[in-house]
Amino acid sequence: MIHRLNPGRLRRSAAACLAVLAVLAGAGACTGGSESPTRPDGTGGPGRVGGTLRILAGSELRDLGGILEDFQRESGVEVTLEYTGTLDAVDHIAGGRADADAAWLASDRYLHLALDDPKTVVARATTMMSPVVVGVRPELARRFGWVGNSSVTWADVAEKVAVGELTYAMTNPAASNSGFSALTGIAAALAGTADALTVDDIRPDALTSFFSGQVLTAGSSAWLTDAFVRSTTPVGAVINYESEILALNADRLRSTPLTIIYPRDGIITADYPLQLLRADRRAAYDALVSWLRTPDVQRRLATETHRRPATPGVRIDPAPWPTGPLPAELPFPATRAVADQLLTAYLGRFRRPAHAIFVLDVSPSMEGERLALLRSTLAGLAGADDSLAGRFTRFRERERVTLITFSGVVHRTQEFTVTDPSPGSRDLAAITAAADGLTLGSGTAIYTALNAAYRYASDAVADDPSHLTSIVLMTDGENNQGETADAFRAVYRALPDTARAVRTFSVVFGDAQIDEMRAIADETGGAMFDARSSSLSEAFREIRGYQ
Amino acid sequence: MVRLTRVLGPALALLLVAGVAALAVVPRLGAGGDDELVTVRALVGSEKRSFLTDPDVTRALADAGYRLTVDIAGSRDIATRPDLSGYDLVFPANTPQADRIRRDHNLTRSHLPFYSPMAIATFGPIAELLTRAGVVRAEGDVRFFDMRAYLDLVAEGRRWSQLPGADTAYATDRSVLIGSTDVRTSNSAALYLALVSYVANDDQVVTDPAKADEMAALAADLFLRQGYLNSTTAEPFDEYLSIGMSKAPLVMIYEAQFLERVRANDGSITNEMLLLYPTPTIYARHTVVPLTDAGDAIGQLLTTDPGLVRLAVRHGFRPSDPAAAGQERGQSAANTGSGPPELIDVVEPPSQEISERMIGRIEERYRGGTG
Repeated sequence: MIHRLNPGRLRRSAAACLAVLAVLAGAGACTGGSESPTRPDGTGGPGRVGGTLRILAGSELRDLGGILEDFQRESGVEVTLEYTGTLDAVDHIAGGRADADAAWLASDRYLHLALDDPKTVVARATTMMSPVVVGVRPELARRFGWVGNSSVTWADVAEKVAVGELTYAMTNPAASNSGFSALTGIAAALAGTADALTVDDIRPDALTSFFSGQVLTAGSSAWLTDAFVRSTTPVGAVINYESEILALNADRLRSTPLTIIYPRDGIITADYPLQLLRADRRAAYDALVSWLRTPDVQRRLATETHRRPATPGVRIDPAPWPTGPLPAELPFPATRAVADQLLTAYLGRFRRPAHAIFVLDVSPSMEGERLALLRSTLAGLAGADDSLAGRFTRFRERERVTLITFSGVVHRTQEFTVTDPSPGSRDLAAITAAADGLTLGSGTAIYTALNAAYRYASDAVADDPSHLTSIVLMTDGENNQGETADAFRAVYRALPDTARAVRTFSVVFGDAQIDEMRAIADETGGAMFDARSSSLSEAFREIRGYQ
Repeated sequence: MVRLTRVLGPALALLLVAGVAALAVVPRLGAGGDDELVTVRALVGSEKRSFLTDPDVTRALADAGYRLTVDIAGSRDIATRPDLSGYDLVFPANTPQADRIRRDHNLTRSHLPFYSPMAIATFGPIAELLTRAGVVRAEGDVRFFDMRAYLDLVAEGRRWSQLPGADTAYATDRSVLIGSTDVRTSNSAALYLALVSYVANDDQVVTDPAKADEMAALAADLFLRQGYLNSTTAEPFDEYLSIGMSKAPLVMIYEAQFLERVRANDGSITNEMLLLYPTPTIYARHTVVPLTDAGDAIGQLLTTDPGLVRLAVRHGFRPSDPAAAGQERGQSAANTGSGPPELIDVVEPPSQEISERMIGRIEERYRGGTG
């Protein structure tokens, strides 16, 4: 997932972004950059530090490429960003396995709760700020009386959801910081204390009602924004960083800007801390921190990324955000136990349950290692993966899982419902057994299988609209049999709205055709993931954030 | 009422001009270059980082023949580190920690170059709410924060929204709580705990373990109810400055942090921001414990060198040396009639053992997990 800075790569569509990320995945291959020694005394000229700084970064920071290029030019420090999910980052850093000099996430609160040894992080400095807020479609905001109204609370939002007048998009709290911040903030606000949440404060009924309105989820904030705008079924609001919503209002939604609600009972602000993991990289780290915190760079960050300055005393005029006082900041849980319990309860109880339809290629080319990887990946999701990321991407209570296997024809459609999500339960063992029992056929009929999957999904969403249904298409070859891409598009476009809202997340594996897979993801509003350079299990875990 | 911030601005500007001029005319003694300097390695609390890495401090030490390299660690961590080899001096934030280090490592020397009282950074509207609630009172230009009245509010579970006047000033349902750092890692939080334990123990320093357990049980909520806490003192103050009242209505800090910003005159302190002095308050007595003669020389210089004392004042510290302090006060008084206020109601921290015991008890509450 190493991403060398290159302005040409910035500002692509979310799907393309994911593709770049995935293509570049597989850190080992790309790490051979220059490793010139750091010169803290700056002998390379004024302000020149030199050396390299390899940063494990949250996907939110993808918009900093151009700015960091300038730092690179001025300081001589070669900066590389390796994008990763929050929990994967925590897994690596807390386990001492982070192959990086620094980490740069939207927030480090969960990381610090998870660290056994606080000295793992040598130094820390916040770099910019953005609160998590609610962007509401203007016509709804007017109808609700929320325009120019600073007294709207999370409870008011919850009430509109409860009566069916408001739906919203929010990232998956187990995959993205904006969703996690929203979850902890909303749980505290609905608990009515606005103090640090304790286990006793969690109000399951209120939270279940609130999250019944979440019709769109995602593993990344940027993708969420994109999907919110492009959604075929209109979504009433988006819970996201203020910066994402301001960017939308300045650009794609300029004619119908979202009304931004800063709930009076509290918000949670991301502060983008840059954290030093290796003491011997201090010079390069200090150079980057002090450069980022200079007033000029802070102003540039505000203009280009709509994030608020972290350096005290820097005023932005005119500011792209409302200049009035912000509502009180809601506290983040004091202990990891509370945070984990909240996350687990969200996934298993509060959120709308998922229906994950896996369309799996079992053509002859899958024989051997590839089939073994597919089996172990499914077994991992069924409870065998005990890493932190694994624990929060498992199949969940109430979740429906469908496995559709295909080669030249569709083989089988197997359905499972998880009522007991504990590892080794009968429900999960059945999925593992089905994975073990996968057998190979001949030929590859991708679109025939996809058509079958959409027919199946169409019936499923009609029968049970309460689940959030999505398709994962995994193939290791190109279509050589059955229906064509055009035929699939025609079938897809003729589907009812509710079925067309089912997105396909395609996984490129083996010799799959990247263009074909990207086209499918684009057509259905999904995203493409490349498992060739990361791993099949990593791609599947990442997709779990979008289900 | 005159705000401390306004008063200090011009005074310090003058002081700074004087300081800069002095540095400019003093000839460089170690003119031969870096190679002739004696390198001194120091392990210091994070609150002194900006002072010790100030280029003017580096220059002043170089003029005396030294180059200081600084490693940062929490004062609690410094006090309990078994191995300090490789360092010439350690510089924790308080005397009980220094005492413990001297005892554990069989050391005798120490220097107290400067100190800073604990103070509470806040905003005008919050100070007014708390004045009406009987927690804050003004004496001349100085505002005091009554710790006992505060602990009573906390015991009642009072929220900001329940204070008279809050609906227009600060209508949040969050509890009235001073924002602090994590007591498990940060000295400023440990001093906050020391203050609370003193007041809750009927205005006596806690000396016996049973009492320590009782006080820790009382104080634990002051930390746990805040939720996630930063681990170093710089961070909540940074949030106070950059996010403001919405995040940090009241923050327990060292006075030096606030004064340093005022004296830097960098625009970070706005008209709304002001400082409250808890009654009682407590001092962080920054103590140099030398491990070598070179470390001892640095401790001596920091305590007595007029240029370095002036630089410490620029960073908000109060010099311990009576002569230096008198001079500094005289200068402030001459320029403005007011420097940082003299504080009378100051208590002593408990011993390091009692402090550790209370922190340990609170740590257990965190490990209990449900909080």
